[in-house]
Amino acid sequence: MNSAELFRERVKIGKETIRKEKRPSRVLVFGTMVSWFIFDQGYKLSEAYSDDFSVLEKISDQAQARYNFDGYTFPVIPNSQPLQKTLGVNNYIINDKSESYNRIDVDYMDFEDYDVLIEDPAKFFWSKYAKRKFPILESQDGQQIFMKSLHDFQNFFQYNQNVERNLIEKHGVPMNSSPAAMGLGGYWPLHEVLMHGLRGIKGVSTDMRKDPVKVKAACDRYQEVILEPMLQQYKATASKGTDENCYFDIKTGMLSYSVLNPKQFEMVYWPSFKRLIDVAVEMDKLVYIFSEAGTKRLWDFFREIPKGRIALYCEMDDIFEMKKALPNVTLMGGMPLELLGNGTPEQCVDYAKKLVDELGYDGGYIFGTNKQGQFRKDAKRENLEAVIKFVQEYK
Amino acid sequence: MEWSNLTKALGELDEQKVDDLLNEFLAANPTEEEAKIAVAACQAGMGTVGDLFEKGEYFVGDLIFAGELLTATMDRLKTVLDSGSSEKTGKIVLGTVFGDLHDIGKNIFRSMAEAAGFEVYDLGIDQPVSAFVEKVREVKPDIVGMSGVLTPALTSMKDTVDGLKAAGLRDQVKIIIGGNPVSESSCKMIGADAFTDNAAVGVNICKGWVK
Repeated sequence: MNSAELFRERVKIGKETIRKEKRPSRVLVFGTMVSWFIFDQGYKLSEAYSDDFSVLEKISDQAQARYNFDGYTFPVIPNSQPLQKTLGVNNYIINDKSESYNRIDVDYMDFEDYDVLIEDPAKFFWSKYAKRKFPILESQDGQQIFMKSLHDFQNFFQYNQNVERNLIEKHGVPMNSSPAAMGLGGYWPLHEVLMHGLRGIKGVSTDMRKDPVKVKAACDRYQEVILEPMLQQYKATASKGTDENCYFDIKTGMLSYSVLNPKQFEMVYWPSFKRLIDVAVEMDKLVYIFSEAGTKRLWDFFREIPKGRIALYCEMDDIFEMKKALPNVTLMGGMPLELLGNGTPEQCVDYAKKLVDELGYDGGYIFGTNKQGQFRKDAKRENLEAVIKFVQEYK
Repeated sequence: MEWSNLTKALGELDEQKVDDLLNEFLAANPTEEEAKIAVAACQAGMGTVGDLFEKGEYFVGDLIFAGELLTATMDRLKTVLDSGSSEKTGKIVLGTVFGDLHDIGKNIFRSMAEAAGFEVYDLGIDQPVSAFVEKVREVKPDIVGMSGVLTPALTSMKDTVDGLKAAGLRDQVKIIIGGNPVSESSCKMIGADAFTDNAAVGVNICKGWVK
């Protein structure tokens, strides 16, 4: 099968899997390893996360040639290091000695700033956030630095395109989400923005206890002024129906809800998230959702979503329990990294068989690791090769 | 002062109520003995927080807020208490291991352990083996707590246990590991005595060790 034929076959299986209307011929295998590929291909973190994007391009190509994944959670390993360096921001700490990659909790917003955010979100971002996050832009060389940052962004964009084109044309791997939904890339409920970009985990947690009404007011205002126009733009420009050249149409994630109790979730998070899902359903789109924390307490919310519209990749849930509880949802993941990193190929294949038998019998399942592989010991090469071969050949 | 009101307010994470009660208490020029009773009432309130977390009624954000509230409360009560005068349940040397910069879980555990009466020596984040070994040698704790979120933290935890063994200190302490990647099998591999991904459970394990 040439790469074009492989591409079409993969998309067909993918759509059947996600829509859950017909049992697909086999279970797809997604590459849920991310920076693990860097170690696997013999590089240091600092070599890969550098100004030279060709290193990551090579890693992507070699990984696909070796493992033959059907798709990826992150087709392109994110590398914002050059852009951050130019802008004088250092939210990620790379340590080659411990082979770790840490994100630092940030706090660019004071509690008192909620009032400005509620009054005018755009004004808040320019007058408060940008000044605090990028003070370097107000220096004498600010204009030059800004121009350099645009150049860095262009390089990053080009790198993304190169990796995607190579995966599609050389390896027949469809992308995760549609380019038509690129404008929704910034569609994140304000609570996510507060936790990851403005107040940090401690700030947003205390805010929800000190003054939940104010946090809700900010979330509602942000939805109205920032997020809703994104949805309207998408509705106006994207055609109805799913994009037949990729697995999903929209890719999104749920991260910050991990600190919210169900009542808080319903108040400040779910309305924005549900709005995105509602638009996707209305336009007959398929949505991929990455979730970093346990979702069990949210299953009642997910049950509201029509069958065959979303796929959930949940890092902290019992995937077998989820299968029973959420028959409307396609599940992704499940293969324990602990087993891939410490077990034998036989043990790993036995577990992979259990996953496919119990989760994939009616479609609605995409094979992958239970957590994203970030570190060297997350998997042994022979174990990963064994489970991929098994799942792709198992009918 | 009705102490159960302070316990209840802290358990319900009612910051305003806690603040009002403390104002009332401190305005009455309390004795050190009375301040010790106030501390015990706060500890009982944190016990309620832990119970509600275990029952699934409180979530991580609530624990973070509880830690902040307790720290602020204890800081105010310290003005009446003689430093170190209260009896401690036991000593814990605590830290996030080498290569890992996460501290939210560690800080929640520290707050709950302090509320349970432990004297906690918090080394901070990204701590090398030598930092744990030196502190254990210095303060002779009952327990060593190691925290980490990233998978490489497991290797650092094992290195730390090996470091304590090499220094002849391993048998003098109980070791508990905490964080997302820990499990029964990693606990065995590391050579720790217990593991948990739940701060409240972790504190209960520690309390069991120093009974």
